[in-house]
Amino acid sequence: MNNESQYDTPIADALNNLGGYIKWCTPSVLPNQKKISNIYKSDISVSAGFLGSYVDNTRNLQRSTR
Amino acid sequence: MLIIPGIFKEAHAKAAKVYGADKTLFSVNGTTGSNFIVLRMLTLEYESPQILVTRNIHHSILHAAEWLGIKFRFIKSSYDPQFESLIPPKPEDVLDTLNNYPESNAVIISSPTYSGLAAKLRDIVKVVKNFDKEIKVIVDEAWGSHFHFSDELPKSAMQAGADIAMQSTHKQGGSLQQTGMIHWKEKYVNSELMYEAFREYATTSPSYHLLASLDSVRAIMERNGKDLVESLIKKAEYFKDLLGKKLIPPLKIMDDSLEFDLVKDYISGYDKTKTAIALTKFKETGFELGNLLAKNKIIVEKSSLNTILMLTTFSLSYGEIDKTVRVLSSLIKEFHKIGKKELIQNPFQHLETKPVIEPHTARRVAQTIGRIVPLKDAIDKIAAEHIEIYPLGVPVILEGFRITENNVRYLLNVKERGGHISARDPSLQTIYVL
Repeated sequence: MNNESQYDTPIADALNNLGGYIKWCTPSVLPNQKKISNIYKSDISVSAGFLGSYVDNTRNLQRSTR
Repeated sequence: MLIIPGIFKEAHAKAAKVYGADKTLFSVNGTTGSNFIVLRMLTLEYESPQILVTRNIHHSILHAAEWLGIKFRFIKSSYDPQFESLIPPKPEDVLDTLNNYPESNAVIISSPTYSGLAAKLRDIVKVVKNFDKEIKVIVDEAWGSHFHFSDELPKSAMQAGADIAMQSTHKQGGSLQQTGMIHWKEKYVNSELMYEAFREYATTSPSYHLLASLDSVRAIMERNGKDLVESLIKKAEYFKDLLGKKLIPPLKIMDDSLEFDLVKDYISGYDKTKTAIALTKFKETGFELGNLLAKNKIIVEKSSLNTILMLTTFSLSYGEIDKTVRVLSSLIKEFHKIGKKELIQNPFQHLETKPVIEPHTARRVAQTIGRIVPLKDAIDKIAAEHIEIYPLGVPVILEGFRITENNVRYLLNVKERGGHISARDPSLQTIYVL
């Protein structure tokens, strides 16, 4: 059960086959942007509170309505 | 748990500095999400807001307006049938609309357009602020996130003095698909309301990888943005030069000087990284050319009835450009030249600048007095649903507006020739009307 190729995954398969295409379309991704080494290991939720909060960008409103 | 509010706030602040804004927020739901946030911010500020919009606004603005009960009125827009391109309004057209609807709270301009035409934003900002400085100038700049970095491109919305700009950084800005930014100046925008709207809408499960991509692109563009964007322009110029040597005439290129004369009074410039090609002298459609290119493993940004649109991207190599020209050249040789192609005049034009019935009530009313009729019999009736072609994302038929003959002809033509219709009934057999 450890072999990922045994599963029926049309989206992943299609994306893995896009390598040979010439793309004149979005996204125009900058190839040299800083990469995250293993996105499956580093994927993380707001539970990692020590990273701060994306949605609570500031506490301005809280201050103003206090 | 120790809370450090730091990394996201810091990333937003750095982006604001680089993109010329006072404040910036990152979006992981593209400009679609940003548009909802900005319109929600308007409803937090005004009791019953009204906005003036260009006809080429993305459906997300129309949908957000419907969801939030915001009234919208159209600014007069022209259309180039050869390139199937809505043209930005002149500043005087914006003023005319303001005079007709002086109670409006914001003017929303989509600039640059999908085809790459940039509105005269600086003049539009002047016109609006002279009329009433409290009226916000909001720019759907989904296609212009690279403008800020080169003098060879039109000024960005922030440079032109707009109050708010929503950008799809994933389009021409370098970041991963789905990512965008909202920029604003604080002079006429209440940041606290923007943050509140953002908190209401933004997912509580954002992908930090997507946010990291935005942050990384910001860092690169801060240091090398000018060179990188100008390398895109050089690649596009190389492509157009090759096309000119091998294919033109009779292939038409939008920013070729002869074609450009038709629209230059309306615009401040053109996105030189784009290549819009019209097949006016050929029997074949853009859909056919796009499909043939795809069979040769070349993906274009958009195919339409008479056009294809191509973007030079950061990852595109000169070798790939050469190959594309070779393939295009061999395909075009097999095409059939014709003297004159029938082009459909403005399919986005309506008889009214405002809906006959407000879109946010049209659908509700339709539940009791609506009916489904064949599309070909729907001319002059009031639509109770949107119908659009995708990509483009601009509805051809608009809920609450009277359906015109050009609306129907264009949709049926697109459908017949293989375009993708986004609607309740994508077969275009029927439409819901009042």
